[in-house]
Amino acid sequence: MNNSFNHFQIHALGLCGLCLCLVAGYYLGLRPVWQAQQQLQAIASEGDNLQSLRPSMELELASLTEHIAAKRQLLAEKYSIATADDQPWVGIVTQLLQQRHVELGSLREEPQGSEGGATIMLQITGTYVDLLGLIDDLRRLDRPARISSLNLSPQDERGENCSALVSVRFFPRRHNSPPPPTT
Amino acid sequence: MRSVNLLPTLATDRFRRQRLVLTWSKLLLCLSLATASLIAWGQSTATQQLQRRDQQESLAEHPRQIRKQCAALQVQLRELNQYETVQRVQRSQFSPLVACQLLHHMKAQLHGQLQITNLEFVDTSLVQTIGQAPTAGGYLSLQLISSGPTSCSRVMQSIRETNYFSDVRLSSALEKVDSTGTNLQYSVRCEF
Repeated sequence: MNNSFNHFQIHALGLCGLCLCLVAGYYLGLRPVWQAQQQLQAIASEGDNLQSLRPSMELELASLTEHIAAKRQLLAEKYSIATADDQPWVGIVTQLLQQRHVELGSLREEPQGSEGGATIMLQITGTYVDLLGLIDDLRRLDRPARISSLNLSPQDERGENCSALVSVRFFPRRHNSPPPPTT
Repeated sequence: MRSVNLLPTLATDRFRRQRLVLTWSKLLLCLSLATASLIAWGQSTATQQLQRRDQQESLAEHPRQIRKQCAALQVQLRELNQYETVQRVQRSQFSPLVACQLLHHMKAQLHGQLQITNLEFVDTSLVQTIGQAPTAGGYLSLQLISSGPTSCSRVMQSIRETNYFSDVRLSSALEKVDSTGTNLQYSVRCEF
């Protein structure tokens, strides 16, 4: 009985050693190779794909850069009159009036409520050219201003001097700045 | 001839055990050496493959950067387009300058036979929320003086032909400015 138990113990120990060698061989020898192989294949496949797409991506990049630059320039030209972030509406209007040598008769500001912004009613006099210049300036402000109404009347026979009643709605600055360029 | 084992039973068992231990030991030794070789080969191969992977990754880095830049630029372009739409929606859809330019052109066509005594521009279009299409709406009301009904008709026709307005109509009667002259004064309302 004692002898047969000893034989069994030797066989069990031998088999344990065998298993240990096989497990160690798999986990430390074969598995890392297999994993590294898989990673290499995945990266190589992605790399090949990217390399094949590279010419078209370079073209797209150049086209997008050009398109964005053109759009920025167009917007900058279209809305070319810059205003400070904290500049009040009244300040902007009086600055434009001064630049165009338009005489201010009266100015009234009506707040726009929860939407923000304000509507400004202006009674002004000046030459026809200067008044049209002022309207153009209002449309070229870097923050949106909407001319809600305009009543223009000539003051002399030739129509060189005119008086105008203008209602302009100014919108708040938020959401009204172009996105910054990507570096 | 019959062979007879003269060794005692205990000694036989001990010899058998020794032989078994020896056999297992040899087997395990060989297996250990083979496993060690396999591990050494595996580690070395894996390291080489990881190095190759790093090389491949560094090769793909430039195209990956280009792809990332393209994605960032597309986002920027979308934001710019959205900004432009917001600006277009919030600013007047129909500029009073267009009306002034139109009148200037008509005055030149009529060789001074048209006089504008008042121009009223009203923009009633609603400011839609972002993403919705803006709707243009409003009117232009003109008080004019021209030399006779023919000029008045030409003015109306010229305004209609610009296609800026959805409706152009006389909003007052044609009246003589004074009893002696031929000049007529009238009002025109143009809807846009």
